[in-house]
Order: sequence, then C-alpha cells, then structure tokens
Amino acid sequence: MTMSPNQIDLRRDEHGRLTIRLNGVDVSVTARPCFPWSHPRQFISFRDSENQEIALLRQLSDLSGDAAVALQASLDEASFMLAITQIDSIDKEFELRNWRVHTRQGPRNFQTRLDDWPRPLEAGSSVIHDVAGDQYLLPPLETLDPNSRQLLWPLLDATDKS
Amino acid sequence: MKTPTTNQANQQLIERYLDQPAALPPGIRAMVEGGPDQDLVQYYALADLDCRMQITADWLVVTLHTLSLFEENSDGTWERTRIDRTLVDGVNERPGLSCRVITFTTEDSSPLLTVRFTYRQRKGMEIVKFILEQKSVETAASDAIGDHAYADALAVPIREARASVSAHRLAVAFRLLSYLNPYRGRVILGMICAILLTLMSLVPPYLTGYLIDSIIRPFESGTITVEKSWQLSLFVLAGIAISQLFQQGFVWIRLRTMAMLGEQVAQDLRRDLYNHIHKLSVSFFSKKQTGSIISRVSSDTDRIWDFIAFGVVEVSLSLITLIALGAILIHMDWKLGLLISVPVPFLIYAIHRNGLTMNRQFLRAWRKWSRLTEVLSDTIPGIRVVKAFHQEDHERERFEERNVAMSDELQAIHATWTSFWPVLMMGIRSLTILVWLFALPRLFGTMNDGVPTLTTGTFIAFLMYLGMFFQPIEVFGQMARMLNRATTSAYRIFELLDTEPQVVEAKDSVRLDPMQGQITFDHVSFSYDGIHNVLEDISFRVHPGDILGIVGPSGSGKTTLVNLVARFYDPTAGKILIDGVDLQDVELGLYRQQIGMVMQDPYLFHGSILDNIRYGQREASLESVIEAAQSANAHDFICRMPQSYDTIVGERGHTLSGGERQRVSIARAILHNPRILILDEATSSVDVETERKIQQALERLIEGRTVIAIAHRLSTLKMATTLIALENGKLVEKGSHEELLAKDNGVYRRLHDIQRELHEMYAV
Repeated sequence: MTMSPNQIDLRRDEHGRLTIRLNGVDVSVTARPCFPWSHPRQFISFRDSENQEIALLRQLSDLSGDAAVALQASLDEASFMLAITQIDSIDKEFELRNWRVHTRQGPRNFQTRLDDWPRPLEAGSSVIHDVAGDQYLLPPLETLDPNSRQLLWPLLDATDKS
Repeated sequence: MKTPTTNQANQQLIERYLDQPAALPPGIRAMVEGGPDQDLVQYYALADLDCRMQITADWLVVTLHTLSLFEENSDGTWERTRIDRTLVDGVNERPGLSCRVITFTTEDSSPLLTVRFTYRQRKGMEIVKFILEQKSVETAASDAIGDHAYADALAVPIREARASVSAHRLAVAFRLLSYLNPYRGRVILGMICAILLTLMSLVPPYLTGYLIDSIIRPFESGTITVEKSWQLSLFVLAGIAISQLFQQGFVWIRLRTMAMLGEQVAQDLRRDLYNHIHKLSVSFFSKKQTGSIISRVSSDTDRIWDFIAFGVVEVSLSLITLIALGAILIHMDWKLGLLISVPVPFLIYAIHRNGLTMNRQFLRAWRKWSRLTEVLSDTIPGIRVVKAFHQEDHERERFEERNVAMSDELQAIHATWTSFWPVLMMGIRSLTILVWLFALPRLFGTMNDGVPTLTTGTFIAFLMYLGMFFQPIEVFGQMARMLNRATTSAYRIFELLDTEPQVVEAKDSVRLDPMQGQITFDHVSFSYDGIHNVLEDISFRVHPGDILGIVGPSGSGKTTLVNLVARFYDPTAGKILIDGVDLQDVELGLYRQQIGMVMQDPYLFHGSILDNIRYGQREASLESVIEAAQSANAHDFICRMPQSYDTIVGERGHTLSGGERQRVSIARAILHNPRILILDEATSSVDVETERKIQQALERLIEGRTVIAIAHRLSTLKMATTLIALENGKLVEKGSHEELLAKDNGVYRRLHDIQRELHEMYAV
C-alpha cells in the first residue's frame, strides 16, 4: 500500500537494520527502490522478513528528520556499487574479459562475459556487471585518465543510449 | 563428492582471476584449531567489505562451537570476534545492487554480528548461513570439505562463463593439428606440393636473368649468332613455361588436397562433438546456452576447416618463401639483398600494429552490431505486440538509430584500412625505388671507371624476386589473427569434448529385459548445488502396474523426482531401485527404452506427424501408428489436415495447437509401449474439451504400466493407486485419495479444495 510520509516512522540501528513502526509495532524491513537505475529516490518498497511489501513510499524527499536520514543511509547501502576510478588492463580471454581496475573502494579484478557490454546511465556514466553479479559503475569516458580511456574506448562511447 | 583435483582447479582459477586467497589463511586455522578447546573449522567465507563499504579481507568462520569474524590488524595478526553458535538464532539479510549485509541475531532478534560482502562472496556466505540455520552443530567437516565449498562457490561463475580448457594457445593449436594424424599422407603431399611450388616459382626470374645476361646481351655484342640465340631462347622459354605449368599443377594438388582434408577434419570434429553431446548429462544443457552449443558444432568447426585448408599451408609456405627469397636475394647481391631484408621485420610490425587498431575498431562494431540485432530479435518474434500497440514508428526509429551507429563504426574501419594499405604499399614501392637508386650506379659502373659491377640480367631477376617478396609479409601480418580465431574455436570445441557426463553407466550393468516396473525410493535426497537439498529423505514404493500421483505446490520437487526416475540425474544420497536393482547399476540405454514421458509442454521435432509418432519406434508399421493415434484421440484431427500424417509440424511443432501436440506426444508414448510411464502435468493449460480427450487418451495409455503422474487435475489424481504429497522437498503425506482427503489441513486436502473451488467458479 502507498503510505503518506507522516505515516512512516523509520529507525535504523547501529547494525544498519531498518525498522518501521506500524500500528505501534516495530517491524524489521528492508528498503528496495522500485526503479534503482532510473529513479532511485522514488517509490521505495519496504519489505518484511518474508519479502512481502508492507509499505510503499512515493518520494524520499517527502520524508524529513530522522526518518529521512535513516532511509537515506539504507538506500545508500542498497544502491552500493564498486565505482571504477582507473583501469589498468582489460584482457580478452576465451569467452571472458578480464578487468584489472582501481575502484573508490580499493583495487579489484573481475571478469565479464565477452558479449556483456556496459549499460549507459544518465549523465554519461555506465554500469557493467561481472560473472558473479557484482555491478561496477563506470564514470563518463572523458573523466578518466588517457590509458583507462583508451582501454574503455572500444566498449563505450558517450553517445550510447539504452 | 567432488575430487581433490576439482578443488585444485578451483583454487587455480581463484588465484588466476580473483585477487583474494584461495583458502582460509593458515594463521586463522591455527588460531581456531590450535586452541585449548579443540575446535574445528567447518565452513568459511570472505567478508570483502568493511563497515565503511571499503574493500577488505575479513573472514567469517563457522567452527563446531563458534561463529567468528577475523579482521586483519595492520601488523598481520588477526582480531577475532567470537560468538557461541548456540546463541545464533536468526539471520537478517539485506540485499543491495552489488552487496549484501547479513546480521546474525539472537532468539530475541538482538544483533550479534554484521558482515558485508559483494555478490562474489554470496554463494560462500549462503553456505555459512545455511549451516547456521540448520543448527546441526554435530555435523563434522574435514578441512577438505570446507576448502572445497569455499573454492567452488567462488570459481563456479568463472568456470561456467569461460571455456574450461586452460591449456596454452600453442598447446591447443597442436592438439588441433593432432586431428591431422590419420591423414598424415595427405598432409605430407600438401606440404611437398607447397615446397615444390615455392621452388618452381624461383625458376622463371632466374631463367629471365639468364636470358638477358647469357643470350640477349652476348647477341647484342655479337658474341653469339642469331640461330644460337634463338635456339637458346627457345630452351629458356620452354623452361619458364614448364615451371609455370608445374606451379599451377602443384597449386591444384595443394588446394584440392588441403581443402578436402580440412573438410574431413571438420567433419570428424562435428561427428565427435555431436556424439559427445548425446553422452552428456542434462545438467550440462541447463548451464550452457543452446546457441553456444550449436555454434560450436557449426561455425567453430567451419573456422577450423578454414585454418587447416589454408592457414597451415599458407603460413608454412610464406615462411619457406620468405627464407628462400631472402637467401637468394642476399646471395645474388648481398648489398641489395640486405637493403630489402632489413626493413621486413618493421613492415611485419606495422601490419601487426594496424591489426591491433582494427581489432579495437571491430570490437566497437561488434558492440554496435549486437545492439542492432537486439532490435531484430526483440521485434520480429514480438511483431504482433508491436502492431497491436501501434509501435511501428518507434521501432523503425530505434532500428535506424542503431543502424546509423553501426554504419558509422564500419565507415571508421574502412577509413583505417583504406588509409593504411596505400601507405604500406608506398613504403614497399619506396624500397623498390631505393633498390633502383643503389643499383643504377653499379649497372652503369659510374663508381668503377665505367665497368658495371651488376649485370642487367641479375638486376632484372632481382626485381622479379623482389615482387614475390612482399606477399608473405602480408600473410605473416595476418597470421596472429588467423591463429587467434582458430584456437578460440578449438578451445570451444575441446571444452565440449572434455566435459565428462555426470550420469555414467556402470561397467557390469544389469540388463532389465523385460522390466517389471517396480520403483523403490530408499531415503533419496538430491541437491543441484551440493548444498541445498531439493529432495530430502524420500522413501516410497510403486508396484508394477500401479499409478503413483504426485502433488505439491510449485517448487516442491515434483519434477526433480521424475527426473531422477528417468536417471537424468543421480541422487546425492539414498538409492532408487528398479525391480530391486540399484538404478545406477542398470543398463541405461535399455532402461530408457522402457520408460516413456509425456510432458506438460511436449516437444515435437521438425518433420511430419508420422515421423514424430514413430520417433521411439522407427520400424513401427503404419497400422500401429494409426492405432496409437486413435488411442490418443489424435487420429481424427490428423486426418482433417490436408496432408494428414504427412503434415510437417514445423520447428517444435508450432503449427499444431497445445492440445494437438499433447495428443501426438501421447500417441508417440503409446507406440513406444513403455513399462514405466511418466506424466508431468500432461493436461494443464488446455480447454475442458481437449482435457477430456487427453484424459481418455491417458486412460488408454496407462493400462498395464507403472505410472508416475504429476498432476493438479482431480480427474488424473482420482486414477492414482497411491498419492504422495511433497512440500519443500519432503514427502509429507502418502496414501489413497480418500485417506489424504480425510486429513484436515493436509497439503493434498488444501490443493484439492483449491481445485474444487476453481472448478465451481468456472462452472458458475
């Protein structure tokens, strides 16, 4: 059910667990954006431990105070991706592309399938997923160093649209 | 259980591809197992994100008594957070786009420990979570099991994505060449022809030089007579003609031999591949895409033909030609020879560099091509939806935008190669000019008091050899790409050939001929991933001629159970006995000949209805085909078709309706006359009238056979001698229709009531 913001009483503990108070009872929930790529701050679905929706919030910006802070922190966690800042190498192997990169979170090696291409997002960024299902955020091509740009050039260009 | 070799292979994959340890650090194991409480590491996983969501390497370890998190200190020692396993009662899991957060909690939901990790660690963490949720602390594990579970969880995504053949590229090329062994004679013939062709191509320039220096110039200076000159010239011309004739003869033999040989090898590979595909287990086909398997048999073997027919000889021939010509040119005139030979490595390098640039551009074009074909594969199968929603303009625009993008990339490729080749040719022609510049003073003798140090004939021969010198350079420039394409295809082919079937026949298998049809499940469990049981401790017996009905909600394990009966998979625990013999000891081919399956979505092959009904009994008479079709209530609708039994049903039988396909498949099963019949929800998704016809057909089909029927329809269930109900992989109820209906809140009773309500609703 879609809830009005003043009906949503959210809290987040030090372990990152989100609870929502419904009819005077605290229910442990997870916050799932319905449109994580296109509209990540709209239509947030709150789901209980059985993965059943117990509330739907239309806009994050409708919340204020502690509830907004709690939800923002949970959404940051839910939308976490490894953000690539530099590419050392992209080697083609049999049916795999092996990436050696630096991310904002630290260095990382990962593998993508040969026919998996970066998916363009808004503002020139793009995202690619590896064989294990991890998502990697690629910044706009022009913001990267020359070597990274050269390596990424065959796989991406600024004019791509999804 | 997987072998240690598999574990080593997994660990090698982790070391090669993932920057994380391939097993639990020894320091942590020593801390756990070297302590006074004699604890033992069971399972473990890496928590690769810290509380600030930065990459780290913390270890979550389950031991016999504890759940511990190990965090590395800056001095390399480990900080242990230790929790008694008995305190862990719940798990709060929060999935994100690229990470998961798990909080282990007590009985009253108080948090005990929180770990964060990327999806790469997810499967390993699920094992840990599963073990904790089972609360079976008495489950002992050896080091090998914990190590294997961790390594397998990490390696599986890579293993499934890449070709499993990990040999060096050259080793793969040699393995490919080993397919030429049975045809050694023809290979030798091809190579001899290639060598003779090279040698023969050296003759005309030599004879031309001889003609000028030894006949024309002496004639001009009056040293020999006209008659003598004419006679000698005719000999030389005859020599040139004969060498040309031989050259073309050798070309003909070489091309014919190697092209046919390449086709033979491609045919051998296709045959080996297709034979091997039929030996592989069903699990292989669920992991690989159909298109990928098909392309290995078709386009990959075609590339191999290309490599063997032309690549092997072209490369050898070019190498021989280049060396022979280089030697001749230097021998004829070492100064001019060196002038030509020294730039050759630079030319090859320039071609190679251009190849790399082109590869990058081709990659972009491939990406654009994928985007273009996406539109085609979306809209052509879905053309009715496009028209129904009047989206033709939108789709046209989408196609045109991607068409232009791809065309732009191809234009860029054309711009690159059309710029490069004239420059390269200019470089090569410049060498010819350079040769002239160096040769002319020596021809005129300007640096030797008017005495020439180079004869005209030698120089002409030199120029002719020079013309032959540059073609091998081009072949070498393209050799890397040719080898790359061939070995990539070879990898994909050998990966398939090296895959071992998981279901294998015992050496001294028992022939059940004829089979009575008694089926016994003796404490059978089954797991697809080795961790989560899809079926757990299932026991029942079906007597010959009985009908066993299986009911249960979606995902309860019904289809898995019948797949075990067909031996598409083997149980991970327990035994399945057929007529009292372990199914794993039964001769598989004969056994499968005596079982029949009618599936929810029956599969018909492209061909006539007659071919499809006779699929299991190729020699069946036309009379028995018609009898089977009549029993299956299919005869009438078949005869209403203009081409009757000879009607081609199209790919997967798409020209028939669902009910018609089902009845053809029942006719096929009736003709096959199996002892054990498996019906997998055969009457779902059809209208009431069709269901009635299928039901009648099934009643005739099941007479005198052992039947295992998965069904939701009450009518099917009522025929069952015994019913079993599955829930979450466990057998929860067993008995007759009446016995199970009598159970309040039973699974069968619940499903039965839902069915009845639906019937009543539709009846209203």
